Amino acid sequence: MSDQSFVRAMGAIFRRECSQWFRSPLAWSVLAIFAVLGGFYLTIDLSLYMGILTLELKFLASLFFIIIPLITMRSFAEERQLGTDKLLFTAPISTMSIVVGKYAAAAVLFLCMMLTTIPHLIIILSLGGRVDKITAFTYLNVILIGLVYLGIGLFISSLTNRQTIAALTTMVVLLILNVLNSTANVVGAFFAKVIGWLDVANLIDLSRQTALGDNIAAGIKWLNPQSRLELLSQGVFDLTMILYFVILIICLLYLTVQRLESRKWETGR
Amino acid sequence: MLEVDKLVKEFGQIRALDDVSLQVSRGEIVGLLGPNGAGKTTLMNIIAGYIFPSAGYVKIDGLDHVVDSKSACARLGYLPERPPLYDDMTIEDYLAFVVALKVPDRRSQKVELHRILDEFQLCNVRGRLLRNLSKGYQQRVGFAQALVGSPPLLILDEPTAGLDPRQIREFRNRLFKLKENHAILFSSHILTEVEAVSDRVVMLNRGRIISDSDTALMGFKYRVITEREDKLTRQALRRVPGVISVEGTIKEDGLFAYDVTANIPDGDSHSIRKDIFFAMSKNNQAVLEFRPLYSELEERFFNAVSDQHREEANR
Repeated sequence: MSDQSFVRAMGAIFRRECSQWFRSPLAWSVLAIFAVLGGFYLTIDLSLYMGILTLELKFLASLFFIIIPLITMRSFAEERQLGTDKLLFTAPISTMSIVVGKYAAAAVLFLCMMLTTIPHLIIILSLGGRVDKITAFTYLNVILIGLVYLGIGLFISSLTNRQTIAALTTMVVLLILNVLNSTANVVGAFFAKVIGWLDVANLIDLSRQTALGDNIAAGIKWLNPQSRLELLSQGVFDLTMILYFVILIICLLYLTVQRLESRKWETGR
Repeated sequence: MLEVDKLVKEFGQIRALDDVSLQVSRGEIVGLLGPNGAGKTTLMNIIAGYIFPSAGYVKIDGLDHVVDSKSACARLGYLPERPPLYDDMTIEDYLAFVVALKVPDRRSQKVELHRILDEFQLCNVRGRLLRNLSKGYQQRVGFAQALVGSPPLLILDEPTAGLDPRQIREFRNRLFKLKENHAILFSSHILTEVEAVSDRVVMLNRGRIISDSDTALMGFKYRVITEREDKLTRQALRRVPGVISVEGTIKEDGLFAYDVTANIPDGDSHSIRKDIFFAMSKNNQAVLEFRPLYSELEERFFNAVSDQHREEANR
């Protein structure tokens, strides 16, 4: 019975979100921007590399830090701003059903965005470009990253009443995640240098300082979900990787639920 | 139906609600009255389960929000001060969405949607976008969403705010119709509104209940001005059924004023005014002026507000 009511409520929220998405100019603008940028990259790709779709997909994934916040910013911040959250949170439904419904709708919009690259795939195929297992895995890679970013955006939207703050915070967090891998080595080397400066008595030898820097860099990379997908980009499929992402998304949704529930106990206006 | 016991809500250093207790039974309309910032909306938000109290409890049909929020929410309909409307939806889509949230049985959902559209006379405008509706219609749709699923408890926060007199009358009639099968708690800072509709008035000031009384037992004050004082007239006035007290004062212009305090059962002041008039005429007292002064409710309300202002000024 409770499962039924969960599905019913989730379905209602999902349908409402989807209908709102496709009635608003924002969703169409996001889709259009994504399609135009993808098309632009494809043109360059075709003229320079003879068509490798993975490069276009990686380019589009690097834009998620701008696009995903536009999708998630209004999820909870707008509801609170307009007072419509009073309808949802005083209805006989669970907070989880609200969160999952909203997440599913955002995921559908995101997948629609990804669908705009399918014609590119057909064009590249017809021109004899490279479409193989690695392309399929890159698709999976990009979709998994996008779904995790949606979870992050949804959680951040639940933290504030203002859409702009939600969008900007999500952008910053996703940007940090984007550059985490490329800056990890720099940060590790910086820490190794700092330790070298502090070690005036030369107690730690140079190899250990370097090893410490490498470990810090590895730790930073470990924090980044993207680094889990490196193998997938090389064409190696690992089920634990998928599981990792599924668990990460569930954790983010759970955190969002907890955040929304905790609002009821808040003592600040 | 609704039981609120020793409710406390703190927002940082501010105690928005302090030891609030009240009950509302089925078939009863309770008006929640208080100046701005008295804690009315906070109390309603807690009763509706939107926020939780710092201490005390709210039980709806014996169910506590903190323990079993879903079951408690299923028994109430809430119309917040600002109706929770998605302005990009049509009336029908919006109400269908609310029905989907509140009515578990898929087969009953269609029937419920038609019932609500019909009951609130929204069938002809069902396709209109909520953002294009007038304030009155928006309030009507907001009220309709609160009634989806026929919850036994209705919480209405400032439901008449921004309505014109015709819409207010319409709202009152609807409330009287609903009274039979529902327990209704509504807030307002319009005294006449609360007096006209409620069976009981709970007055809230600075988070505390300062009065909880039956409107039928509340006194109204009338001033009758004559040329001279007459003991027999005073006695005759005291004998009028419903009169609680009669006070006499000589006015600056030399005329005499009788201030008559009376209880008006069912809010019908017609017969008591007639009786006062005949009591005067029997004693050959010419009535130069006869007017209502204020109600006891009004007096209590203004006392509370002026106390608050005085304390704020002293601070």
